[in-house]
Amino acid sequence: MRISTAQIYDTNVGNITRQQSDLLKLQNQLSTGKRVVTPSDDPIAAARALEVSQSAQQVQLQKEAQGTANDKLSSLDSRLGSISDLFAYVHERAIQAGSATLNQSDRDSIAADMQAQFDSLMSMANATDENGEYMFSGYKGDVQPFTGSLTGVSYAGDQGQRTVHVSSSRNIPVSLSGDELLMRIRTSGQSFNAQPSIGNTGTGTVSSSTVVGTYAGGQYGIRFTSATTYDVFDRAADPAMTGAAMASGTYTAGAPINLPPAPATAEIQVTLNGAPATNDSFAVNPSAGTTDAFTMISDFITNLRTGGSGPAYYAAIQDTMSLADSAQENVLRLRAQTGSHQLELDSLGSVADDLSLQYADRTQRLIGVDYASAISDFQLQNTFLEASRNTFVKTTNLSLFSFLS
Amino acid sequence: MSLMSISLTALNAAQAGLTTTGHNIANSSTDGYNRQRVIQSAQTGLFTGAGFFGQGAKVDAVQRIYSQFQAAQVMSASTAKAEFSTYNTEIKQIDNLLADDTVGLSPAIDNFFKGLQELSTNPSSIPSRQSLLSSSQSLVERFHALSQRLTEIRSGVKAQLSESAQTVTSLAKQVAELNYRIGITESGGAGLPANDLHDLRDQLISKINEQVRVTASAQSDGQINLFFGSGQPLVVGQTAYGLTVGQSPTNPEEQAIFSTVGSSSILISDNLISGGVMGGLIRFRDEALNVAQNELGKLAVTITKNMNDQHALGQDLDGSLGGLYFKNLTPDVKQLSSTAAVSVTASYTQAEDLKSEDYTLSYFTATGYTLRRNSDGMTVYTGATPPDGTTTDPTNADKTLRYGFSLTMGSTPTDGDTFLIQPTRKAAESMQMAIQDTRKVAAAAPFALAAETSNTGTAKIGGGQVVSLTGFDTAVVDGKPDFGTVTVTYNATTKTFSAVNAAGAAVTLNVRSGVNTLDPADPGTPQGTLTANNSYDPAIDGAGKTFEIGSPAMSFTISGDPANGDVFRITTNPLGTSDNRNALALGALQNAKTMLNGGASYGYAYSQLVSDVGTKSRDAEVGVTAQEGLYDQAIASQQSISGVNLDEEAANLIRYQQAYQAAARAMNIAKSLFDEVLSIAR
Repeated sequence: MRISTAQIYDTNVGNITRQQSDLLKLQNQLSTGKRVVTPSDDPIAAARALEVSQSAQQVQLQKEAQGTANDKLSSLDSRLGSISDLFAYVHERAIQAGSATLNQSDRDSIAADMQAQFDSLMSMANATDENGEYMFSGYKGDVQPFTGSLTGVSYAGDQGQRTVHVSSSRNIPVSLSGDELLMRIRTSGQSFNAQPSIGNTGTGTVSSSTVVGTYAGGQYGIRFTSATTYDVFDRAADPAMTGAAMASGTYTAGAPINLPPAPATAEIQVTLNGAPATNDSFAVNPSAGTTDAFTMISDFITNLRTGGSGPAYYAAIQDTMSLADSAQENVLRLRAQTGSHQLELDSLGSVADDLSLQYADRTQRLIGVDYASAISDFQLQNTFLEASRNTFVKTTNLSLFSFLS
Repeated sequence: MSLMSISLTALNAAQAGLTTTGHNIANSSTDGYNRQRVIQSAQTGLFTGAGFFGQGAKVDAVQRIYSQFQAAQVMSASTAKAEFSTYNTEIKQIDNLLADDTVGLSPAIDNFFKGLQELSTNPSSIPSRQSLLSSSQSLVERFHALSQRLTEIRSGVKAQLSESAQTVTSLAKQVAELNYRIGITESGGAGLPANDLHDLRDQLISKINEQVRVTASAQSDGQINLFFGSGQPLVVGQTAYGLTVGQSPTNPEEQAIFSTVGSSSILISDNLISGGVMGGLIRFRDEALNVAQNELGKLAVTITKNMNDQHALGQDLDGSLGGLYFKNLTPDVKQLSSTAAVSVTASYTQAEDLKSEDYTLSYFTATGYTLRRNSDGMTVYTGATPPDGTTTDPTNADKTLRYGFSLTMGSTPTDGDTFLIQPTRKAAESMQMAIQDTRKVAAAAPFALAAETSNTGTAKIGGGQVVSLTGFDTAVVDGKPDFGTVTVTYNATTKTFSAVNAAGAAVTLNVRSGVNTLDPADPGTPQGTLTANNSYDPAIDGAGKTFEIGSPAMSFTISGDPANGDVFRITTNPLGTSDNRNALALGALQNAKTMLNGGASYGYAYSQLVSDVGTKSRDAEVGVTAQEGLYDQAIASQQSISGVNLDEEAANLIRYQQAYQAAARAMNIAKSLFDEVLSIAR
């Protein structure tokens, strides 16, 4: 084939340029550590790498969120710990208060102690977090959740549970509503309660109370007309028990009293024990099922101060003890929940760490440079370029004109 | 005939050879030069009784060594090469722009959702709200910057098209001029070819081909006519038709190529322009640039629409309903031809139905409205009313034909009116924040759920999603939810719930069909159907049953074991500053499949765009390499015939020199013979 002289130059220059550009590309890959410098180098890998980097970014965010959630849960847990200790202390003092050896001044001093515990519970319940938000007010972070005094505390928060988005499919709760924490202490499991009235002088106590039919929520009063006889009143219609009695009965310790009394169908039974005095009375009220921790303490205080030392006092102490137990159980349950959330965060955290590694690895495999092969390619390309240059000079030196003289 | 005169012809022939060789050497590196050679033949012999005596040599012609076929191959390869390399140069600009770690969209989207994540972690914190607003603003600005860059590239394309048209016009004039000169030169002389003028003209045609592909047809008189594609003339004989760039009749903002003769100009449709710089530019504009800008716009529209839809369902720090987060965007509509202007109101319907396409709407009194996709001419809507983008469109069963916008005509168009609709072209540059106040970010939900403290059962109320804003803000319309309280009470005997609103009127409890009651991809657009259903059997529904009410339009879930008479309340949430429910819903949009017919998240859709552009760019690179290879081969073949080889010319020099020397020697002998004759007389 004929070759034109210009073509020798053009072809060689073209080849050298191409080799130089390949060499530059390899050099660029080696110095950036990326095989895919622009998407056109490998569009599929570049797009995948972009998706992977978005996922990696999300995992990174989730890890940060997990840290935040963990902090919030830890601080929640320590608050719950203090509250639980407080209830344990109330329980302990209630046991002390139940001792028959105490005199009124002992009880007053316990009452003073309880007053302090009441204030301490109030301040714990109104605790704020690092952002100045109330911890136990649900969604209403700027609203002080608990206000009031011994005469009654009201909850101004709501039942919202704050959450943190810690993984693609999990929003973990990091707060408790004060309502759930302190306002729903379960009383006895009954739908009603029977209690001796304050001021009873006998030793009669309520030993058991059971539902035997469908309790319609009636309020009854049992008043002893002598040591062995009693009247039953409908306190819903006659709260002061001054009207006509619904029925009368003969008292036998340990025998159940049907309410409402015959001829109506019995709904509940109350069993009394001990020796009630004349005019001692017992009240049967529908139970709310729940009370709040503040009422529990303030009732305790009232009882300590004004309950005297009769059976009603001890029955109320009994109530306080069981309520304090119930309150502590409630807190412990919530603490367990918090703990399990923290455990969950731990496992989510290790999943996120794993994912981060995987994403980094995948990115490297998608667009990272394989140094071994890139360096050997670079050497090879270098050799080619060297060869091209040498042969170019040799080829172009060959000219018939150099032999003409 | 004497030896003297024979030697003279030899001397002349050798001299002609030397001259031509010298010309070849001189032009060895001239572009478009074809080597020439002397065609030499023996003079007819002189007849004598002894037969024919030769009369020496004569020079017939100086001929260029030229192959029409090879030249055409080179031209075709060079026009393809120019097209690919132009396309490649242009698309490289977008290629790197989109995937760049710092200027690409991906990091901005990531940051935006990072802002939302922070908001959901600390919904009441002003700094985290501010950081969300800042990252939203930078997302908006990134859209602007990318769009601006694409617009710059577009104006670059326009400028280059004009330049290219001017180049073609001026080259065409020169070809016409050369046609004229070749005509008079060759017809005036002995009919011999004007080699160098031919080379020059071929070179000009090759240059035109680098701008745009033309076909040449040679005439018997040596003139050449040039045509585009299917016969649109560029040069006919000595007349050149110029090319100009003007406003496209199908898009007032786009440019089209016109052929001009005198004062009249004829549109040359884009599909007639192929090859060369112009072909590359138009292909780049139509295939890559428009698609990239539309895709980017689609992303802007989808993010705007989804964010706004969800944000509207939330409640801000002051207890007002969310409203707009970004300013609403609208599809761009232009009326192309009409006797009377029609005002058109356009809006988006379903973001996931949007395509990165442009559309043409035509109206005929007899047939009504027809909406066509510009890329492939596919009809996506026909009907007596303007297209409204709803799924009741006859063609809408096919998701790939959905277009995702709705048009309302201010008046009935004139018969034959056409409109250009670019649903997403300008969206990226038009994106704007609607709120600047950190307190206006709606992180909370506009309702609160509560189980009454006195409930004796263990049932819980939770979940809760706003279906639409119906019934939230009705009593006094001031942007604040005021539905009061909806009270839901359980009846254990009938195992049903009953609900009453603040005014004491009964509220119907419904259950929405389907498992996924609300499509997270389309906040504010409920799917499925509602059926009245208020039963709740703890044994069956204990794991949670979701009820929906119509006013306020929302859903909630009750789980567990309610006791008879247990009460649950749905209330307004005016002080819910620590509520992050709507922030979580906004954040969930990051992974919601809201694009590409509901099959892709924002990130995925964007990486599709990067991959698409990357693939095109890759194809262009491969194309350039392939075309360069073809071009090199064509050049090699052409040069092997027409190129100057200096060694060959050196050999020719020696050959002609020796021929010259031999002829001179022969002349010398003739002279000495003559001297011998003269010396006889001396």
